[in-house]
Amino acid sequence: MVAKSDITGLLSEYNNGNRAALDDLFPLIYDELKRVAANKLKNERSDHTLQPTALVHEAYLRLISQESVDWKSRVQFFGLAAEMMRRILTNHALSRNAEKRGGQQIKIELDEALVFTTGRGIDLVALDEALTDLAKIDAEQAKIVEMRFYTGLKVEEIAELNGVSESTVKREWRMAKAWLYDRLER
Amino acid sequence: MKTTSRTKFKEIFEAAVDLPAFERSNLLADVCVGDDNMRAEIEKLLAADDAAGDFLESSPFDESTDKFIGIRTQKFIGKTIGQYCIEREIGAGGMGTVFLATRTLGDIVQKVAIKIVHEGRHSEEIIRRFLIERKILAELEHSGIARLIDAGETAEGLPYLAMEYIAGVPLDEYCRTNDLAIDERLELFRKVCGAVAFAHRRLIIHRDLKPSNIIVTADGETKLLDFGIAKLLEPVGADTLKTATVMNLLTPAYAAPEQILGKTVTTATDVYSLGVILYELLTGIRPFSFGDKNYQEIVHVICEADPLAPSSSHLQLKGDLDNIVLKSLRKDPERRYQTVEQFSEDIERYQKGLPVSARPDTFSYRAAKFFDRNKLTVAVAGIFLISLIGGAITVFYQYTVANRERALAERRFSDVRALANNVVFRYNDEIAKFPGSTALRGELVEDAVKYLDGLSADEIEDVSLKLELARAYQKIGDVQGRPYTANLGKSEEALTNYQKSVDTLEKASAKSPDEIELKRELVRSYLRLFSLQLRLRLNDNPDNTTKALKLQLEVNDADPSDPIANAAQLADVYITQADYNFPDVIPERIAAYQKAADLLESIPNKTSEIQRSWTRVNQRIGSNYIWHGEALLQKGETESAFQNFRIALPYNERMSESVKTEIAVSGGTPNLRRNLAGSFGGLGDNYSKLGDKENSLTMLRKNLEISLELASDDAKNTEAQIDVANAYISFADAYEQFGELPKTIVSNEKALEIYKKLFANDEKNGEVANGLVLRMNKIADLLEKAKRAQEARNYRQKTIELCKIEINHSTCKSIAVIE
Repeated sequence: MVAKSDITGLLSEYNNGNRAALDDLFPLIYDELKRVAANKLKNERSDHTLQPTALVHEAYLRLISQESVDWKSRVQFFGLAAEMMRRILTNHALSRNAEKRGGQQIKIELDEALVFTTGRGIDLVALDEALTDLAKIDAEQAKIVEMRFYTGLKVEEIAELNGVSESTVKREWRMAKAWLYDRLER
Repeated sequence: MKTTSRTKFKEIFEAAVDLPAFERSNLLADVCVGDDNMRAEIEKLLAADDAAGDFLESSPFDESTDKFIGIRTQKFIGKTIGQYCIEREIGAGGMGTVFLATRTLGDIVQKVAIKIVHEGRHSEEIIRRFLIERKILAELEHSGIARLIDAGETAEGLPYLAMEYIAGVPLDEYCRTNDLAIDERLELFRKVCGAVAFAHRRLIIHRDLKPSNIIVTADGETKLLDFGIAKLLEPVGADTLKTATVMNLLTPAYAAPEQILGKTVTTATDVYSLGVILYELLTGIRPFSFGDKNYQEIVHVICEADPLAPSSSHLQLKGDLDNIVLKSLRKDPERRYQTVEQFSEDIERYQKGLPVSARPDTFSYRAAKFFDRNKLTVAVAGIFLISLIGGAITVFYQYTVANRERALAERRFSDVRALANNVVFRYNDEIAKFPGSTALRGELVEDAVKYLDGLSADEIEDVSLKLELARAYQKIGDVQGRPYTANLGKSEEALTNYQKSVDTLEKASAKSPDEIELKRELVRSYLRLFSLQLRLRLNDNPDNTTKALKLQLEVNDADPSDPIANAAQLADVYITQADYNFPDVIPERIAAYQKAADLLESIPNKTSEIQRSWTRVNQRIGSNYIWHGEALLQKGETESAFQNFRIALPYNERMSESVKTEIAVSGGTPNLRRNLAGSFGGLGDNYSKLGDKENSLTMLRKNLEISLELASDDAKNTEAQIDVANAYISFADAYEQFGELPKTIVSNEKALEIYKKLFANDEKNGEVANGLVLRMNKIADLLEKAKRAQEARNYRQKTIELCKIEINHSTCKSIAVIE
């Protein structure tokens, strides 16, 4: 178990603009996610589907005790988790691609527990690139996609976390989805 | 793009995205003037939005564990199993992983799909499952179903199946990438139906139909895959898969309510899944989105939520396709297409422009709306809808194929019959107890009669069916225009239906002369027919009522087991006979009513039927004595007139008491409240004739209040309007009696207004026409009395004009004489 103070400290650094703090935060949270996922697989029927939302929520609750949860750190955490899930998935996809090409296999530890299909044939690497471009045009939309697609957060949760209305989230999501679809599918 | 225009860009996209295509281009033409780049960009996004469907909507983690297991099975790659060399993984299902493998036979390299049980999961149950799938596939030699080639065990003892390898893309993807037109999609879908129907004929239910299990090959043929959780319907032996296991293997998006609830799965279950697929093929979205819902929420949505019509997102699907898709998605398997063939045929009919069998769910929808409006308790509405759905619990397919077809036909027949009967007899009567229900009842019964009609059309000699049909005709006639009950004022239609009821029973009774019940019902149909003929002034043959009387006496003789019911019906015959045969001759009329009254009075404990007749006969006698008194008054026989008014009073009082008794027993239904108002009206008339102003006005006020209430509760019920008009007339008569001329005129004018509207609605209604003529002439008289000569002349003129089309009424005749 990671010391609570570490995470809170790093979170506040990250929040103060220190992007490098993310690199330190990443393994901490990643470990926790792995633990949660492994537990889930052990305890539940093996044909149960892993829900990223559940994973992230649970990891969050484990990392930061309920009492210390204030609105701000929650937002930070979920924003971070979304970014992290994106990384995990993209890295995994990259490694699979590398595997197919017969190249050096990139070691992705979470594989064992957090394996996934690429959902309806979505190219996760291309999605990652497109999302990076979208963020340049509309950072807010990119953030919503991260939270929704990679973390599986509900519209109302995203609205609450971002301090906007649900209808705003829905509108932004729809437009971002169209933009990404255009980029990826055409 | 400049950042300043991003907000504007978003606004335009959001404004356009929900508009239909042509409005979109109008809007864009308006707002993008001079900015072709922005317009192109937005159009590109809008097109992407249209096509995006569920893109990014499912989390990449879904199905993750299957893949997890899949990775463990990677060790098979490159290995040889049986004669097959495993090349790569092509998919993973709940039970096993599917690999592409090759078999070399001489020069020929055959590609096959090998499905291997997940390692570590080959529990007994899974193994049994695999054997079942093998057995099922062995039976399914169909061009639309992936064929079983071989089966065996790996070196490790894992069972495997070798199947025809299908190169192609999933159905939904195929439609999307080829941008198929609706008709092409329907054509493909029907091919799938053909394969599923084939399986059903082999007593096999697929249970896991979804686009990813349906592959379209390069030459446009569909192939059904994965009978992994299919169920073999066998006469004995329950489902070999435990419900819990099935639940875990299900794909909720395509699962039917009965499936998700672990109830009996039938071919209608596959119909449902096909319905979801069709919905998705037509609209690009699924009927329900489960997004982040948890299991309970998903169950709730599948079992409770009504899907939006496909046309709600794609307007061009409105009508038949909406109906077809929604029928396949009904919650109750009994109410879906009963076979995939029917489903497919309906689509074919749509494609050919023929009428389809699917109809919108009007009734339950309307019933729900109706109850909503009337703020009934959830419990009542719930009971109603649950019983509506039929609750038919039937075991499906317990027989061989041939037996099954017959059993199906028979069950469908009895189901339709039961439903129609429920609608006609139970729900109609239940709904009639609520205010404002006349219009709904009309539609309800009309629909139900169509069903019964269809069932009876064949030469079926089934007494009880004929009875039901005759009663159904009566009921619809009642709703359309039974005099003195809530109805829609469609007298002619009602007459047709009463006549049908009579015809049905006369024919049936001729064929089965010993069936007393047919005769009883025939008398009831006669009475309804007569009372309506009377209203329409078609009461020209007194022999008719004699026939009814003879028949009833015959019935009473033949079956004396229920003397009370016999007496009650005989009394009804007497009452109707008196109404029908003696429209004007009052003393004879009263004598005929008296026969009924004597019969009824002799019965001590009155059933509600008898109580109702008792109310009626007292009402008839009471008002006839009043009318008789009025006639005497006009002849100047004041003393005899008052004698009659005094005799009338106890009858009117008895009527009022009788109605109150009925209400105490049955509650204040609209019909009883109407009778209560009528009894107050009768008493009010009676008191005014006797010169008792205070009691008279009190009673008349009660009459008007209740009548107005009933009329506003049930706007479509024309009988209620007549009642209000008559309540005003009673007031007018009373005011006239007490010498209050201006009030007399105003009350008459109020009645006239109503009669005008009623006449416009139902010109054939003689009572209404008479009422109209009488009121106009009356008002003309009163205006003359009030020295308002010009107005009086106007009214007189209008009366004469009306009499040109309405010459039957005695007022008209006397006017004609004056002219």
